[in-house]
Amino acid sequence: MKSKKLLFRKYTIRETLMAYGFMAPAIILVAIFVLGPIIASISFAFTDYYLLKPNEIDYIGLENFKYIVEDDLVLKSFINTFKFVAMVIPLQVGTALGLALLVNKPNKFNSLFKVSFFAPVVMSLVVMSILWMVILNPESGILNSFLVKIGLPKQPFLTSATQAMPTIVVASAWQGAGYQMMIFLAGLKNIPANLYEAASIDGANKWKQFRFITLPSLRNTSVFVFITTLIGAFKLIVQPMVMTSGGPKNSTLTIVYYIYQTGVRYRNVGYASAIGLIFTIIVTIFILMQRRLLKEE
Amino acid sequence: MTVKIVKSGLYYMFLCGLAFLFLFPIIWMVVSSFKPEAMIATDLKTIQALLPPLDIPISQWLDPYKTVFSRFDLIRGIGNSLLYGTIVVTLSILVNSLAAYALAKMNFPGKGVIFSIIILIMIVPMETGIVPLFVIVNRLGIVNTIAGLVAPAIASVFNIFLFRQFFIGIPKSLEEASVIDGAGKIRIFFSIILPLSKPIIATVSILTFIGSWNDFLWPVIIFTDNKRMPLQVILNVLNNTEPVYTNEIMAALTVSTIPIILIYAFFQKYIVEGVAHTGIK
Repeated sequence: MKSKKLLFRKYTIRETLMAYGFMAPAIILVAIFVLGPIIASISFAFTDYYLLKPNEIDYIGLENFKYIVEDDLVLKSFINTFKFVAMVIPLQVGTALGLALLVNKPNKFNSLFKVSFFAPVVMSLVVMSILWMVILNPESGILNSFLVKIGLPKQPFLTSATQAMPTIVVASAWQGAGYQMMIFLAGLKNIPANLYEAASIDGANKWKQFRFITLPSLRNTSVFVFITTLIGAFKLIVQPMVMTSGGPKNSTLTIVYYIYQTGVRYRNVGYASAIGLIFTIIVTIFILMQRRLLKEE
Repeated sequence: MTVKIVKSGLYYMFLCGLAFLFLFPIIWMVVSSFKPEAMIATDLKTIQALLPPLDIPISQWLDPYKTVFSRFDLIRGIGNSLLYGTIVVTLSILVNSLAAYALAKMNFPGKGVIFSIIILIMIVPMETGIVPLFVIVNRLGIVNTIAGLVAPAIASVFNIFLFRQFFIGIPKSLEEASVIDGAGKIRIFFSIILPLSKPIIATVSILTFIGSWNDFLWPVIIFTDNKRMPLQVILNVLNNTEPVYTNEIMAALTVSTIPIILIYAFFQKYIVEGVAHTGIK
């Protein structure tokens, strides 16, 4: 009787109106500021939209995309971005998992260690970038003075085309790892303790417990950490903007930085949108592939 | 037994080493902000680099702060950042919790579609849309205004998601009791749901405030007027304005970081919960 009644009044007009009323501010803002740019970038990508001439927008078909293929800086910034992603993901996620496993046992000391590892996370990207710039200064930085002290040669770090990107990778992982550590810790907390008890009764050693209990139980957490870190890594812009201005020799020019330069600084909205569109498609495909791979394993 | 002690000794030494790697830049930043410029350079070669300048009178420790505050309008920057953060947090709580309440507790056609769009937005990387976003804000005529800065930051599918997860956990019986009393949905939301949601409101407020305080890219794009710039942008200006003094830079960086570290220290529980929630669900 009751279930039948529920079935009949699945939706009421009153409740529907109310619900959309509640969601209206969010829907309007998301439509303008989130979906709007996506739709706009698709349509701008096929035009010669120049920001200062908003009344002279012409449809130019695939011209922008032809130009992308010939633009060495697009290729360079794609390669740089993928390099960053390929280096930072294993370093940062690996460090985060390692730290989480190390401080997983709840005790007074470990909560202090957790705070230490998490501390860089609350710093802003600008503060972190400036701080590392000063620390890594080839002449007056503390790191080089330490290297000299232990008998190693000074390093150019951010001033060298070969070392700049790896340096940004390390600085970024230093800042970000504490965040992913927290997520891993939350995942570890959810693993029932009796699984480990049963395993040790069966004579499984620590490594086997890790391999056959901890890792499989962290699967959802790992997928989440992987994908969010990946999305964050693809968006790299502030660190090179502050630390190197994309140099030396464009070695730290990332795709989002190049989009920013073309669209905001040089006002070439059409071309910037076209690069953005290509990049969004590539990253989305990449993320979907990653999701499938991680799910199927 | 002794093997065990040695083992745990080594374990803690290893952890201390790791903690040092994560903390030494921050320690160096803070202690250098209290030193005269020449002392930073001479201290570099010894452990003194990571210790406060005990051989100079405490009254001089704040000198780098005094000079950097007189050279740059940091006060205005801090004021701007506080203002923008407060506006974004207030509106963000209101807009996102309302939407999340509808998604968590009401039945209406199109719910599945809206939820799929939310998930999709969370997956697709949005930063490449920054140029079209700038164009839209430009068309709306709100470039170089506070509205232009905060409006894109208010609605957050991530925060809607966090609120929704929390609201789902609130037992229906609490609402039903007030429905019998004749309370409408709006009254239920403001007088029952929101007061019960203090933990998630705290989490969302803190994460949103830290995000706003630390934001750099959008203000750089949207503002042309230097008087509106938040602290993060001024820090970058300061780092590029000759003459550059390390102690002054470190003082400014410390000023930017201290409020966030205090927020973190006081509300650690809520931040950790926010981070944990996003991971598990």
